[in-house]
Amino acid sequence: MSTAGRRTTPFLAALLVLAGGFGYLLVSQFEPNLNKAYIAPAQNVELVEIMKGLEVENEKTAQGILQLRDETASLEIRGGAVNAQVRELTRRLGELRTRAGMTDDAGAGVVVTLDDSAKTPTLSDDPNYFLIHDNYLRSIINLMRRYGATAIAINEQRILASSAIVCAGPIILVNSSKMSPPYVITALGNPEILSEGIRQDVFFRVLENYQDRFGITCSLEKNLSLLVPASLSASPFSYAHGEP
Amino acid sequence: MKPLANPPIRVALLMFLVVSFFIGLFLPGQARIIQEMKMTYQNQNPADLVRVIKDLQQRKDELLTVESDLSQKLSAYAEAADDVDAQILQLKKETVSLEEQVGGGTLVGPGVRVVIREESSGASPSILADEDLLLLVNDLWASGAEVMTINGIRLRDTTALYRAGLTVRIGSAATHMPLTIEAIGDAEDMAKGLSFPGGALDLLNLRRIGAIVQKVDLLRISD
Amino acid sequence: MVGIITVSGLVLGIAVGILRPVHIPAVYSKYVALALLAGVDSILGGIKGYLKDSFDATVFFSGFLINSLVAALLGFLGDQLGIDLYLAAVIVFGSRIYQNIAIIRRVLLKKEA
Repeated sequence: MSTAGRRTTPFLAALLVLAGGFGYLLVSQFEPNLNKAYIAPAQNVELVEIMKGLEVENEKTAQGILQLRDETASLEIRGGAVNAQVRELTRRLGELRTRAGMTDDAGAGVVVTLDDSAKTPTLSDDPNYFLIHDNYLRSIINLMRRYGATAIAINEQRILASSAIVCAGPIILVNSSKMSPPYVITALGNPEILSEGIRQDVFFRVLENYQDRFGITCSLEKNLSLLVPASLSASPFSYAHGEP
Repeated sequence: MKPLANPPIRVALLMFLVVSFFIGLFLPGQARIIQEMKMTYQNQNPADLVRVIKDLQQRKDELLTVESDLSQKLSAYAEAADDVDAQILQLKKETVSLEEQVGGGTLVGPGVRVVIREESSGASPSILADEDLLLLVNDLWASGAEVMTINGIRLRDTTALYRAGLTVRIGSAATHMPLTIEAIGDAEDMAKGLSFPGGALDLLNLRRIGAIVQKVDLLRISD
Repeated sequence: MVGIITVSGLVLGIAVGILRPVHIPAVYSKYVALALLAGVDSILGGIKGYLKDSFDATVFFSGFLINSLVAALLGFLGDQLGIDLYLAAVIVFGSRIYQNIAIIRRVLLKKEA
């Protein structure tokens, strides 16, 4: 360490660079999210494993339900070929199933896509503005209904009246199924009316503003051929009964 | 300390190659899993995860019920392949059940009644926001409501809820404050689903909107 | 020379690891990380020995294997006992890595001079 006396300028320059670098690192440490040394509580890891397992199981059951529905439909068609009354009942049943959201639905409509921001909030930002929240989804769904949507889905989940959208921390659940962003909300209906209505609404404009300022994704597209998947959860009521 | 038998340089280099290769081999896998963990687990409250697991479990039960119902129906139908009367009976049963869900009949059952009242007196009257009403309704569905009406208007798949000045639009119908929400389902669950700390009722209170939840043994909902 | 070999081995390994990813269950990722740390420590120790002409292939290779295994096992054991035993491995290997890097740097600087 005897360099100091001999050549002061390079030494000072090096010191400056070091101190500058150190200062920069110090400041960047203060940025939320960046500085969180990764500690996953062992408990969390286990919980997430359970969660993933359940997701896989549910997906498998869902596929099973779809297949059973197909088989039922083909049996009913075969029965209908023989008997006129069966045919009539099957037709009526098909209508009811469609109205109950138990069948896939296709047609024209709009797609709204929402996604969390890719930007990292700095210390002065409220990180909430960088994420998509459950109430955004509720409000968009409500807007779609308001402008005449006949069938709605978020990602693969059909939205019926009784579909709840809830959050647990950063995770959003729709129909008690875990959603992962991006949230693609599909609505069937008149594309012009839907897109005009949604675009004009204050809420959608606020989201567009967040898009500009915080980098979340908020887009609306018209589409002439969309598919809305069938609901899987249409099980009969257990508390409500027809009046005797 | 000199090693006894220093291997030829090629062997030594080979060893470095092998060892560093293995380290390199595991690095991407490790990096990926850590990345994934950061995305899914970090900053997550175990309580939230437990909540998600509970919901997924509930969903699992629900799906399994639907699946077993379907396969029962299917096998019953297959057995009755030659028995037209049995087929008709089964089809009729399902029709009735679906009509209850979709149709316009009268439904009865236990549930809750929630009355929401804005505060019109005082210096600044409180106003129920669309979002608050959506949350309240959502939380009722989430805690097991099967059928719901607001001021007697049944909520359906296509019903939007919004304020237009003093009127509250419920789908194509219009009504006014105060709102009476009636929901058939597990009354206990629904009351709990609204009144947990930080839930819909707390939020309404914060906005100075009165909400009274009442469990009812027999609600009667008709269109 | 050793440096080039090591880096190319690492690059090769990473390339293979990206193309054909080794699946590491989330639960074990901590132990794998410890083993990797021990591995890096071994490599640097080896380079140091090589530069100082005291390289012993047996020590090097067994060190790599045993240290990686023991580090992972220690971490696992610690978790079972409810103490953060993996910190011991992190500290030991971490400080050794620093020491070795310092020595390697000095040797290289001396050689150049």
